[in-house]
Amino acid sequence: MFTRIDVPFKIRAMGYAFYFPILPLLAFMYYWLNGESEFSFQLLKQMEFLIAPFSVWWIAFLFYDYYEEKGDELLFSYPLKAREHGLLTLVVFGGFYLALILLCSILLSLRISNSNMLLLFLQFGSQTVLYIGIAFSLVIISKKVMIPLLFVGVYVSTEFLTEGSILPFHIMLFNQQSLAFNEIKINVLGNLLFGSVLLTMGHLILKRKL
Amino acid sequence: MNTLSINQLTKSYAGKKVIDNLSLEVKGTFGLLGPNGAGKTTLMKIIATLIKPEQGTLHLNDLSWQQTDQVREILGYLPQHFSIYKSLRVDEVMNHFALLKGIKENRETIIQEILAAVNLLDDRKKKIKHLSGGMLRRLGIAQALLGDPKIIVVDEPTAGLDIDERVRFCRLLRKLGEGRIILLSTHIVEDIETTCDYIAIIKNGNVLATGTKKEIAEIVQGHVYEKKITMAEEMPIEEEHIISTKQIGDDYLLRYFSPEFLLGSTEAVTNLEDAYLCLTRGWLTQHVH
Ligand SMILES: Nc1ncnc2c1ncn2[C@@H]1O[C@H](COP(=O)(O)OP(=O)(O)OP(=O)(O)O)[C@@H](O)[C@H]1O
Ligand SMILES: [Mg+2]
Repeated sequence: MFTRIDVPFKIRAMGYAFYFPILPLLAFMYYWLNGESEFSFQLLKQMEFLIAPFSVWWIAFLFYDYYEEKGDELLFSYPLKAREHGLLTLVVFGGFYLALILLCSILLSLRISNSNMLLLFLQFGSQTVLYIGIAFSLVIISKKVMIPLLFVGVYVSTEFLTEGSILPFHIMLFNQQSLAFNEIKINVLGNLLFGSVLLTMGHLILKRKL
Repeated sequence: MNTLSINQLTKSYAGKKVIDNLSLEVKGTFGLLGPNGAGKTTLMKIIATLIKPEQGTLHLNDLSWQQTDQVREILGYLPQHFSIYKSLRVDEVMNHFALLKGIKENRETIIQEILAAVNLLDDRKKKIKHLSGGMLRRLGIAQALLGDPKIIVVDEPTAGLDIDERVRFCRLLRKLGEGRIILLSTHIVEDIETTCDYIAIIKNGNVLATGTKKEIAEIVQGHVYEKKITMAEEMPIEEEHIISTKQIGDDYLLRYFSPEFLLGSTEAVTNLEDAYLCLTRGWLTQHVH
């Protein structure tokens, strides 16, 4: 199934763009190692407003060769299924990003008292899935790498600056401490559901183009 | 001989028919000749499975173009604009394309053979952005050759190349055409003459003529004349029917189209360029039929 997904090549083709999401992770690590423990809630904020949204970056740049280098015509003439162009590649890179989220969740659970690593992962992982869905469908529809980046960038900064008071739809929970399952379940389910819808939509649009 | 049969193909953009009930038998090394906007790229994209026609069918023996996946297995395509993965090396990119084509065994050997065939073996460690225009075209052909396709579609392969590169490229295409169909498009008559066995002249999404080079040149036999005039002399015929003027000493040799014999002219042995100009400018249909 994954035989035509060339991960090392994709990474090389993305060039510097592949390594860019490491910057927010470094910032997170720095805070985790050096931050004051009474300000641990900062780490939760970083997860919601920086680390999870940054998943958009990789997903958008996976299509740089298709749309910014105008390789789509050539690549679409190759004997690949729509899922090999799209979803399966997302599974690999999105999966890799989720592993980073898991790692951060583990670190957080060590740092924040009364926290559950699994619940943290559910919260930030489901948000990441939604961002991946947004990135995928937007890049397929717009054929521009910048569009998903701008869209999510504007959304996240607005939510951050207004603390969720303007926009009607919240991907994030704005929590300052670890939450219980009952407190996150609606958000988690909503994000996963909406993310799956967007992933399916992106896939179907791609399939129709092929 | 394998033949790609195109039957009554139609494709429109915004209500305008870009391909208009077009039928064609494509075989051997085949040249599509037509002016800008004739529909060459559109036709080639349909053959390359990138766009679906509104009507019409395509077949290669038993294989119908409805079976998109199978068609892509036997197809090599070089788009009009080819430039991708600029900061990567030739061999890396070829390996990637080979993987996408599903080549698992002997990938390295196959790539080496193809790169040798297009004369890029010594440049395989170069980055794409450091290739010349001609080398980039040859790389484009190299990726199209992966998987030993039965049909190769190349859109304007010689555009932007200098004369040496153009001649070399045409010769390469000719060599690669053995045992498979190669379809190429151009508006440079010369390239077709050196490369192709069969030709179709298209305009406005229609086939104006198709056949061998000789057959097409003969269509206008008897309607093309040559006449020598001095510089001082007035043009004896309408400007718009002139095919070419060549200076010989103090005189001009005029080559022109005329529906009937003109006194003082000699009938020329017609070539592909005569036929192309007469057909695409509509002289023949205006005057002969
Ligand atoms: N995606 C599109 N949307 C609208 N019109 C299009 C599209 N693609 C092509 N056309 C129109 O269809 C006609 C044929 O275009 P096509 O590119 O097939 O011509 P061509 O023979 O390849 O020309 P050229 O020699 O310039 O490459 C042109 O009039 C063009 O404007
Ligand atoms: Mg064209």
